Amino acid sequence: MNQARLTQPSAMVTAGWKSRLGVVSRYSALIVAAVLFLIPFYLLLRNALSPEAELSKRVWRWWPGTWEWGNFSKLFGNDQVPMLRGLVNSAIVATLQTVGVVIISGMAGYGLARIPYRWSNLLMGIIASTLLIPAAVTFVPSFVLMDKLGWIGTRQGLIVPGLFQAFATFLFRQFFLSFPKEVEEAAQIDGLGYFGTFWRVVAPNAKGFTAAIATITFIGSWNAFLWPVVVGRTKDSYTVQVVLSQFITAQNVRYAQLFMGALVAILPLLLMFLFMQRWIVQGVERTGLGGD
Amino acid sequence: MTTAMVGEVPLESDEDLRALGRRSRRAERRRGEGLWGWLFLSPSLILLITFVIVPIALALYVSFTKWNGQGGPFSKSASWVGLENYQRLLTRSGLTRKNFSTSLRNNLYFVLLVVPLQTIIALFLAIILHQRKLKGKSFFRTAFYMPSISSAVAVGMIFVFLFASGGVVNTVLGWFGAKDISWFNNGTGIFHSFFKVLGVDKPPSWLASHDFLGLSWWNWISGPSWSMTVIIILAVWTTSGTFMLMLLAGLQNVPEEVHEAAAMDGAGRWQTTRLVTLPLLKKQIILVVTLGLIGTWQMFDQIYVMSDGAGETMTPAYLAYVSGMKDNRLGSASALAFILFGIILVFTAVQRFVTRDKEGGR
Repeated sequence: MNQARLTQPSAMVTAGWKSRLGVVSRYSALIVAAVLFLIPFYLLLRNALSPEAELSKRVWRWWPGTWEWGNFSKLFGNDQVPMLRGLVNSAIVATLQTVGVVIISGMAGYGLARIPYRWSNLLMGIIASTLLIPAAVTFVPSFVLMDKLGWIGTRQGLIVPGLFQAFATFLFRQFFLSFPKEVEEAAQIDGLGYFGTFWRVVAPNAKGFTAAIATITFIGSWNAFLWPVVVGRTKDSYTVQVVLSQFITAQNVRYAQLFMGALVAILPLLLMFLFMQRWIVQGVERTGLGGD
Repeated sequence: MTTAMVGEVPLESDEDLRALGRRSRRAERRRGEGLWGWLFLSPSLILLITFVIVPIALALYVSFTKWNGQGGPFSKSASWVGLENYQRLLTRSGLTRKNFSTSLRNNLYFVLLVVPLQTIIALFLAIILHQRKLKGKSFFRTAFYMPSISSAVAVGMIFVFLFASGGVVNTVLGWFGAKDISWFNNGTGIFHSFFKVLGVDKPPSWLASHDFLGLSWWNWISGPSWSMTVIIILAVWTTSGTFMLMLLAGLQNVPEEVHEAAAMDGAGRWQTTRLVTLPLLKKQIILVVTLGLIGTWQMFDQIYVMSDGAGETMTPAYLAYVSGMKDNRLGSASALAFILFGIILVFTAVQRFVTRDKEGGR
C-alpha cells in the first residue's frame, strides 16, 4: 500500500516526460518530412521567378537576387510555346473526360449493383483485371484504331478512349451496393421510372461520392502523359503536359520560362486541391477503402 | 408467369392477396431492374470492348507479325512470323534481347526499391499523422500529398534541376565532403560503384561468364544506375502521399480505444504499432503494395521527360514505346508489352500468395 503510493507519482512523472519526448520527436519527424516534401516546390517557385541569368550561374543560391515577375508574361508572349493553347486544351479535355467518366462509370456502377449477382461478379472480375494490363499493350492498337477513325490529333481522340475507367466503375459499384434499396423502392412506388429513380433519387444522394471520384479523375486526366503524347500531335490537341515536354527539348531553352511553365501546369490542381481538399482526401480514402 | 402462380395458390384473405400483389410487383421490378441494369452498363461495355478488349486482341495478333505500321495490321505489309518476336526478345541472342533484358533489370531494381520505400514512408507518415491531438494535421497532410497531384513532366523538370551538376543536391552533399556527382547519363550501377570502392573493379570470371537473357550475371547485380536512382527518389517522393492518404483511411477504422487499451496493457509505441495497428491495416497495405507493383512496372512518363532512356534508365514500357512509335517495329513492341503483362501478372500473383490470409482471415 505504502509502496504503491510512493511509486505512482514517479511513474506518472516518467510517463509525462516520455510522452513529451514522444510529442517532440513526432513533430520534428513531421517537420523534417514536410521540408523534404516541400523543397522541390520552393525551387520551382524560385526558378520560375528568377532572372534567366541567375539560373545559368554555376554557384548555387537559395534565394535569388531579384524576383522576376515578368517571366509570367514572357512565357505567354513566347510564340514558340503554345502554353495558353495547352492550358485551354487540357482544361477542355480534363473537364469533358471527368464529366463523361462520372456519368458513364456511375451508370455502370449502378447497373452492376442491380443486375444478378453472378453476372455482376463476372463482369467486375473482367473489368478489374484490365487494371493489370500495361498501357504498353494497348497503345499501339489503340493508335491504329484512332488513325482509322481519323481521331489522331483531335480532342475526341484524347477524351473518348479514357471514358472507361475500371477503378471508378468498381468504386461506384461498391457505393451503390451499399445504397439502401428501400429508398429506391419507395421512389418507384411513388411512380418514378427506373431512370427517374436513378436521376432524381439515387444520384443526388451520391453527390459527395461523385465529387470525390470527379476530382481524382480530373487530376489523372490533367496529368495524363503517355496517351496525349501518342495522340495529341497537332496544336489543337496539345495538352499542357505535351507542350511542357516539348519545351524541355526545344533549342535555346529559356529555363526561367520553362519553370514558369511547370508552375503554371501545376497551379490549377494545387488551387483545386486547396479548395476541394475535403473531396480529394475523401476520394483517395475511398479508393483506399476500395480494397474491401 | 406471376399471374399463373396466383391461380395456384389458395388465397385465404385480403391480407394474403395484398401480400401476393406486393411480392409479384417486386419480382416484376427485379426483372425490369435487371434489364435496366444492363442498359445502364451498356456505354461502359461498348467502351470496354472498343478501347480495351479489341485492342488487346489486336495487339496479341500483331505480336505474331512483322509490321512497320504501314497499312492495316491485316494488310500485306504485316506478315505472320509466329513466335519470332518473342524469340528475339527472350531466346535468340542479339541486340533486341540485350536491350530488353537490360530494360528488365533497370525496371526490376526500380520496383524492388520503390515499392518497399514508398510503402514504409507512407505508413510512417500515416501513423504519426493519425493522432487526435496533433496540431497542423491538415497542413502536413497537404504538404505530403502535394507531390502526388503534380504532373510527372513538371516534377521531372524540378528533379533534373535538383540533381544537376552544381545543383542543390550536390551542394548539400558537398557540405559533407562529397565531390560533385554526375547523376545523369550515368549508367554505372550503384552496386558496381560500391564494389569498386571495395576494390572489385573487374567482374570475377564466374560472374562475367554466366548470363541470363543475354545479360551477364555481373550486369544483373549492377544495382540501379545513378540516373535511375534519381528517378527512384522522385517516384518515392511523388507517390508516398497518395498511399499515405489510403493508409490514413484505413487507420480511421482503428478506434483510438484500441491503442489506449494496448497502452494500458503496457505495450510500447513500437509494440502497439506492430501488434495492433499493422494487422488492422493489412487490407490497405496489400492494396498499396498491389497498386505500387502495377504502377512501378509501367514506368514511362518520368523516363520520357528525364532521360529518354539514357544512363541505363530504359524500362520495358519505354522500350515498347520506342520500338513501336519511333522504330516502327510494332510486332516487337507488342510482344514486349505482352511479356511485361506476364511479369505484372506473376508479381501480383506472388504478392497475393504471400499476403494471403493464413488463418482463414477475418
